[in-house]
Amino acid sequence: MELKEFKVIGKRLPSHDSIEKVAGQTKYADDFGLPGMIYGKILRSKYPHARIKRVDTSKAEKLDGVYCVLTHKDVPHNAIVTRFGQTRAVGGFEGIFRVLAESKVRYYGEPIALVAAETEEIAERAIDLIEVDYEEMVGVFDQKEAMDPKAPQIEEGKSNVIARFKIRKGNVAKGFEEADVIVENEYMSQFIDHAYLEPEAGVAWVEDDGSITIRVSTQVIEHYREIAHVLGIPESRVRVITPKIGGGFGGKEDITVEYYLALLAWKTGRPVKIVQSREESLSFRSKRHPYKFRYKTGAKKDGRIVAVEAELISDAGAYMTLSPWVLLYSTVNAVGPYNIPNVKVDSYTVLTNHPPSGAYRTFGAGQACVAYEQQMDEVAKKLGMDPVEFRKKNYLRKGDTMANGVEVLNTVALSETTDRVLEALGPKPKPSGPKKLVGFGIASGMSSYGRMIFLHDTSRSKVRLELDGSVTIECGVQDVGAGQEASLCQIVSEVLGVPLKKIRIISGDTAATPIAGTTTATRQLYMSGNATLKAAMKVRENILNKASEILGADPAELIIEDEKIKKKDGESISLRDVAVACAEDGIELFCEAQFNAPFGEVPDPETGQGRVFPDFTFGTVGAIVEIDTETGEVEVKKIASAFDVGTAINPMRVEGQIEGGASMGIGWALSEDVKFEKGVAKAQSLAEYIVVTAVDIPDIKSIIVENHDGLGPFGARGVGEVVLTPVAPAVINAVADALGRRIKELPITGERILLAIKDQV
Amino acid sequence: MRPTSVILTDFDYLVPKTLEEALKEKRERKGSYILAGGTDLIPKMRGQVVKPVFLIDISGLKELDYVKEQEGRIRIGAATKISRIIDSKAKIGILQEACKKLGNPLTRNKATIGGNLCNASPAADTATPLMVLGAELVLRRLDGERMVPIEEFFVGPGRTVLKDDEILTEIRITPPEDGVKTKFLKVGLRKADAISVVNCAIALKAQNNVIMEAKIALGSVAPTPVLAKEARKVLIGNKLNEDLIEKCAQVAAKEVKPISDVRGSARYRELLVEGCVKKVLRELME
Amino acid sequence: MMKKYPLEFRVNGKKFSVEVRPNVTLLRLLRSLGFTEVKSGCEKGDCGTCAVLMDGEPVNSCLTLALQAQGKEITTVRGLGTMENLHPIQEAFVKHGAIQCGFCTPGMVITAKAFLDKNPNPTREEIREAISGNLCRCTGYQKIVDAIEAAAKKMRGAR
Repeated sequence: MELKEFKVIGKRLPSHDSIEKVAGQTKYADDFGLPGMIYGKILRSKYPHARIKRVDTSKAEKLDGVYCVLTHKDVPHNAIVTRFGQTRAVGGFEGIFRVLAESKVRYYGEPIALVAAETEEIAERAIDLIEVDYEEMVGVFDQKEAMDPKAPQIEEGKSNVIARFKIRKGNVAKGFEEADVIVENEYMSQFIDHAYLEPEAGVAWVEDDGSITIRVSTQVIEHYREIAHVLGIPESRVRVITPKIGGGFGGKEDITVEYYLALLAWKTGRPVKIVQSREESLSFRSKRHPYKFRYKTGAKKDGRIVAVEAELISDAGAYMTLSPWVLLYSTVNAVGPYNIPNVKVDSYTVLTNHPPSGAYRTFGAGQACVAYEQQMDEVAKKLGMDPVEFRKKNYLRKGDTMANGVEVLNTVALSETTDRVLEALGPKPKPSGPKKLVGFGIASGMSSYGRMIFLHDTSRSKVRLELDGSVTIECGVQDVGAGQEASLCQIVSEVLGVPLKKIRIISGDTAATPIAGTTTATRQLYMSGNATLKAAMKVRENILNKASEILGADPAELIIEDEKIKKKDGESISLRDVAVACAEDGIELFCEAQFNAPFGEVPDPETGQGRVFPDFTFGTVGAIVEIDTETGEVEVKKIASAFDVGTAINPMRVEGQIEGGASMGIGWALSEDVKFEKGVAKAQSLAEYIVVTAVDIPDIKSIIVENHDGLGPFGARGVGEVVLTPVAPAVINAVADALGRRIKELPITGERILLAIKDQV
Repeated sequence: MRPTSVILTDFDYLVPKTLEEALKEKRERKGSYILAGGTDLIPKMRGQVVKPVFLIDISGLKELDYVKEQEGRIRIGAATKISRIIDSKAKIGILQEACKKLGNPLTRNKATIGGNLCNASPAADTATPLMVLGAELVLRRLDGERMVPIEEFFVGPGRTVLKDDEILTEIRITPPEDGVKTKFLKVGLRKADAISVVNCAIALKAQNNVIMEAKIALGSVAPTPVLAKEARKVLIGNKLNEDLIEKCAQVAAKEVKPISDVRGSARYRELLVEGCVKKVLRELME
Repeated sequence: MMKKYPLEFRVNGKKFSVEVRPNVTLLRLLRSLGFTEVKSGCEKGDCGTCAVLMDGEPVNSCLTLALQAQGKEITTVRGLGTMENLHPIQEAFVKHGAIQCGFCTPGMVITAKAFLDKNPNPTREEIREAISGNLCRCTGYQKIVDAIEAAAKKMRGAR
C-alpha cells in the first residue's frame, strides 16, 4: 500500500474488545447456556497402560438424572486417522486417534466413557458407578527407552518411533576435521503445561434441522470436519463457533472436548455442556513435547562454526496427533539462526504412555533453542570467546543459506537486537550480598511465521461497508487474546478511513464467517491480515472509483481520511454518501478475499533440503539473575527482549506479547514441571504446577525493531511465538554464568541449584 | 479418590450464634467439621479427602475474632483472619512476618489462624512463629477448657490433640521481652503464593552478644512443625558469630528427618534448613 | 437429597433471595445467577479469577460457601463500572493494554480496587505484591502494574 504516513497502523490503540472484557461482558465458553442444558463428564483411565477386560455402564445408566452413558461402541467412527493440514492432507504421517478407548488404554486419564446428566453432581456420581476391569500392562515412560524394539508397544505390532527427519547439508565429517575445537553435550527440555486461566470448555446442541452446533473454546474451528467424520454425517451439518478464548498457547489447537460434546448432544438431543476441571486440564491434556538432545559442534579458533551434528528425540505421548510436525519444526530450527556450512540432524519422535504431547507456543522451535543456545555458550567458553562476539561471528545474514538449504531473503536483525538488549541491561551488577551470585545470559532465536508451505495454506476474510459508513468484518479467526480480531480492525480502519468504534468484527464461526485458517503457527496477522487487507483494498477501490466520478477527479489523487474522501483542493464527500451512491448503482460494497501463502512441497526426506516456512522472525533476549547460594532461590533481576517485528501494527500489543513470552520463558527455565512419575502427573493443581506470579518477574524491557520487510500486511512479521523462543535459554545461560557451571536438567529449580552448589550434583 | 468439579458430599450446615452453641453442636453431631475460612476445608471437600456430615460455620462468630492484650498476654481469637493479624498493632512481629507470606493476598482475607493450626500441615506458616513465642492454645469443650502448649498440639500431618467435642478458641502469647529478637523465613517454590518447602522461626535473647535464651522452630521437615532442640543447645551460653551460626545450622540440618514429596526431596530440605537457619541467625546478629 | 437453605444477599446493589444447598460455593451460585464475569480457573484459591468483594474485602468466591454470603454485599466487576461508564481502574486497564485474553481481568480489577482503597499511593513493588494471588498467563503482568499505577495516580488527583 502506498500510504506513507499511517493514521492507525503503528499506533498504541487499545484493542476494540478490551472494554467488553474489562466490564465483564465477554461470554467465554463456560459463560453460555441454553434452556434444558445438561452436563457431560468423562470417565478416565486409572492406569497408563492396561487392557480393558470389561466395561459395565449399567449402574450408571440407572442413576436418576442420567441421560446416557457412551463407550466406544456408541461412536460411529471411533478410530480415526490423524489428518494434519486442514485442507491439504500430507501423506506419510498418518496416525491413529481414538475418541474413546477400545481394548486398551495407553495413558493415565485416557477417556473411556462419557456421561450426560441433569446436573454436574449427578454426572460425577454416575462416573463413579461405571465399572471397569483393567489388566495392567508394563508401561514405557521415556522416549529413548521406547525406541528399543523390546520396549512395550503402544500400538501393537508397530514401532513406537512414529516419525523421523534428517538434515544433510555439506559434509560434517570434513567439517569436524577442519575444526579447532569440538564440543559435545546433551540437553533436555521438560513436560510443560499451557496453564491458560480458562480450562477447556464448550456447549453443543442440535439445531432445528438436526445438524450439530458446538460453541467451544478452540484455536481451530475447522475441526468441524473431523467431528462430522466421527459422527458419520456430512461436514456441512456440523457448525463450530468459538467465543473469545481464555488463553490458547497451542493447548486448544488439538481437539479438546468437541468430540464428547457432539456425541452427547447428538445422542440425547439436548444441549450439553462440558467444562474440564483444572485437575483434568493439568493431568490429562496435551503437554509441550519433552526432548532429549545431543549436540556436537565444531568451530575454528576465530569463532566460525564449521559443523554441527545434532540428534533430537521427542516424547510424543500415547497418540501421534501433531508430533511429526513439532519434530519437523525442531529439525528445521535445530541449529538456530546461524550460518553453518556443514549440518547433520537426525530427529525422532516416539510414542510412550504419557498423555499425547501437543502443540505449544513455538511448536518445537523453543525446545531446539534451549539446546542450541546453551551449546553456543559452551562453544564460546571452549574457545575463550565472549558469547556475544561468538554469536555475531555466526549470525545469519540476508543472502546466507539456512541448514535446510533455504536462502534468507530478507533482513536478519540479530546483531541489532543483541546490541539493543545489551544496552538495555547495562553492565552486570555486583551481587547484593556476600552469599549471592550474579549471572548474565543472552540467547538469540528464531521462529517461523506462517504454516509449513506444503500445507498450501489459505485464508479468507470479508469486509463490508454499511450504508452509513460503518464497517462489518466477517472473518473466521479464532481470537486467543493476542489481537487476532483487533489487528484486522486496525487494518480496515487504516484502509477505509473509518474509526475503530465504527468497525465491528464477527469471527470464529464455520457457518457464518469465511474460513481464515487456524490460530496457530503465528499465522493470523500474516494470513488473515493479508486477506483482510486485500478485501479492504478492493472495497476502497470501488469507493474511490465512485467518488472520483462524483468529485470529477482521478482516483489516484483522492485520499480517504476521517470518513471522508477528499480531493487535494479540499472538496470532499462523506464515505456514507459514496456508500449510498454505490448501492444505488449496484456497485459492490463488500469483498471476500482469499490470501494464499506460498505453496511448496515436502522437502527431500533424505537431506531435509527445501523451504518449509514462508519466513522467520528473529530476536535476542538477555537476562540478569541473582542466586541465593544458601537457599538456591533464583531471582530474575532484569530482562530485556528485542525482536525485529517487521512493522508493529500496534506496538502496545507487540509489547504485550513480548512481556507475556518473557513470563512464560522464565517459568520454563526455573519452575514449570508437570512431574510425571510412571505416567501419572504429580502436579495436579496450580499450587504444584508453578507459573510465575507478579512478584516472580521484574519489569521487562521490550524492544521493538522494525525493518519493514516482513510478509505480513504493511511489512509485518509474526511475533506471537518467537517472543518466547529465546527466553528460557537466556535465563538458563544466566544461571550457568552465575554458578560457573551448567545445570542441564530443567526446570532449574532452587533444589537443583542448591544440590549443585552443596553436593556438587 | 479423585477431585470432582463440584462438592459431592451431602452435609447439614449449621451457623451457631454463640460459641456455646457451637460447642454444643460439636459435641452432639458426629462427623461434624468446623468451617472458618474454608481455604483448606473447601478444596479438601471437593477433593473428596474430607466428607463432613455436619459443617459448623464459626466464621461469623465475633467472640472468636479478636486480637487483644489482657494481663500482659496477647490473646488472638482462633477465627481471626490472617489479614487482621497482619494489620494488628500488637507486639507479634514474627507472627505477622509469617502471616504476610501465608497463601496469597486473597486467601489471607479468609484464612484464619485457628484454621491454619487445626489443619495441621507440617508446613503451617503460623505454627513455627507461635512455637518460638511459646504460645498456648485454649481448647474448649462445652463443660470446660484446657490449655495446651503449642509444641504439644500437633500429633502428625493433619492431626492434632483436639478431641471430637473440642474447638480451638484462642491462642495466647506472651509478648517477647525487650531484648528478644525474632525472625521468620520461608522458602517456597516461588516468591509468593507458595506452600513452604521449609520454614524457620527463631527467637533469641542475647546479653553482650552472648545468647541467654533461644528457640528454633522448623516447618515442613518432620510430621509436625518441630523445635530444633540440639541446634538450640549449640547457641545457649555462646557468643553469636559466624562460626556459631555455621555450627548451629549444621546441627539443625542433621537433627531433622524430612521426607521427599512433590515440592522437594529430603536432601533439599536438609540443605534449606541449614541455609534458612544461617540467614535468620545472621540477620538477628545485626 | 440435601436440604436447601434460604439465602438473602446483595450483588452489585441488587437483592437476591434464593434457596441453596450448603455444598454450593459462592462462585457457582453467582455464575448460576448470571454473574458469569466471576470466573472459574481452578476452584482451589490458586488463581484469583473468582475474586469478588464481600463487604468490600476481596476474597476467592471458590473458597466461600454460598451460604456464607448471608446478609452480605457482593461486588463483582460489573458493579464497578459499565461499558459506557468504566471505573478509572477499568479505564486504565484498557488504555495501557493490560488485557489480552481477558480471563484474569475481572478478578484482577477487583483485587486492584480493594488494594487502592487501602493503599492509594503504592509503589510498583507493592502493586505486584497485591496482585500476587491473581495469575495471568498472557501479559507477564507488566501492563497490569502500569495500569494500576496510572489508575492510582488518576484517582489521587480526583480526590
